[in-house]
Amino acid sequence: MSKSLYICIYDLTGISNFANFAFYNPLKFNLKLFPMEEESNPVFKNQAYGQHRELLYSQYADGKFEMNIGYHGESDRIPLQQGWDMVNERIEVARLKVKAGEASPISYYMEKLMVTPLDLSLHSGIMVWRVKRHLKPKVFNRLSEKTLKKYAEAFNITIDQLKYIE
Amino acid sequence: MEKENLMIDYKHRQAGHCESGATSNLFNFHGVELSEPMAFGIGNGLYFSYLPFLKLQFAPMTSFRNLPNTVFHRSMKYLEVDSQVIKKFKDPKESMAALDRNLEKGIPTGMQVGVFNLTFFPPEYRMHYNMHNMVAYGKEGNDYWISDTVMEHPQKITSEDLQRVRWAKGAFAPKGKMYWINTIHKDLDIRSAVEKGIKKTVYEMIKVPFPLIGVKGIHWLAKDIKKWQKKHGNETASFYLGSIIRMSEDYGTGGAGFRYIYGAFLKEAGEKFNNPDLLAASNLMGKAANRWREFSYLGARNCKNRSKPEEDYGKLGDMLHEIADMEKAVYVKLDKIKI
Repeated sequence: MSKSLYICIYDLTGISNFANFAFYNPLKFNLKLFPMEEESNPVFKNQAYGQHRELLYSQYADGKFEMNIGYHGESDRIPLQQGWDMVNERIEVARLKVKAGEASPISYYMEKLMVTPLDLSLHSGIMVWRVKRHLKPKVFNRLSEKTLKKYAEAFNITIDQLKYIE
Repeated sequence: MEKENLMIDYKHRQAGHCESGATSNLFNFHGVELSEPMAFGIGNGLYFSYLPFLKLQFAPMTSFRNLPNTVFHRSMKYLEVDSQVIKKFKDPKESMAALDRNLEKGIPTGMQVGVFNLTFFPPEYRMHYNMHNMVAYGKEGNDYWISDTVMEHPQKITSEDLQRVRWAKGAFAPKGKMYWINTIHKDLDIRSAVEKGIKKTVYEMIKVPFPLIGVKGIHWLAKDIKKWQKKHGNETASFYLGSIIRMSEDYGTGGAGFRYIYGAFLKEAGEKFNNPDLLAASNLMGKAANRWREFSYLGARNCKNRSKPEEDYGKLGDMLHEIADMEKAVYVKLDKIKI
């Protein structure tokens, strides 16, 4: 019998009192239907993540809703880590492209700030078509100090950092 | 005259959702006991929209909540409370001065902020999300005391940092928006407010003539989920699925995309007015919420093994169809109830 079938039966019986049901449930260590956990999950690759306790709701068999303060379960944390994986991957790709001279440092910092050219134009006050043009290294190298300063302010870094990435 | 230390006697309570938590805390400060689910239900925060043509963090946008400031605005309107909202300022310094003036008068003030640069916020949530709400209730030298309902305890933030988050840029820019309650008369008509709130939520969930909003939106999403694997491949499909789960479970919803909070609201209202129909509706809502949790539990396994999905996307889609029907039964029931 598959794991998901167990969950369906679990739902049909209407025994939602987790404390009672966990006693009979052979899958009690896999079934994380209710999100609350006593301790933080080691899902995140970054140590600083997932250290805050939050308030979560759940419903029990008698229809009572409960509020618990605790950590999210593993099943909530995996998709969030997946989102950060996507961001980090894009940053790394952009960094390699800049190193190879295929793109300007603006594209790297844009990924780091998690914005699109449209957002960046709102942040820096430079028009979208100009931002898109500045992604080419050839155009970027000819930029004036004034424009560079606008970008540096948007990214919250110095002009030197903008020109030479690590 | 400027005072160095200002501290308003404001009770911080943690909550599942930022805006309804702030609203209920403000009510409590003015001497009216209103729980978080009650504020959420009256201000009809419950919503569903699936907008595949808008991309949020590279995935189709799914939203389980209403537009920012709806909860505060509508709960004030339905309960007929004297409150004030300043939508935007022209100048950042002016917005900070207005906040100082309010604090000197002893009024705790709610603000809309962006979370990307919010110093005390959990780092895993720091995205370009400009619809967060928190309440300022004290000043100590250059620091402000902030009650953020996502956090367990009150927090401190410097004046410069606060100005930066209040003037965060991008989509839905807050532009220093702030709101507060002026006065409350003690005998609020909660019965009619609950009725109005439920009516509006029912309208938004089943009666809006647009296919991407409400229960119809869930059906549309269910149809799309079945196609993702063929259309985009395993990696992207799991990423899109993950974005739904992130929206429903992680970003301050109290679990199951606010469905638990709404169920708790129906339960509390049913007990208050002694209405068995509302209690039955709350039970059904809780069942739908449990089903949402199962959906995200199964979906998360596909996110774990991205290249080899453990769960069938067809099955997940069928599950969403089932959830949509379960929710529709609740709203149809609520539509006929007389409170």
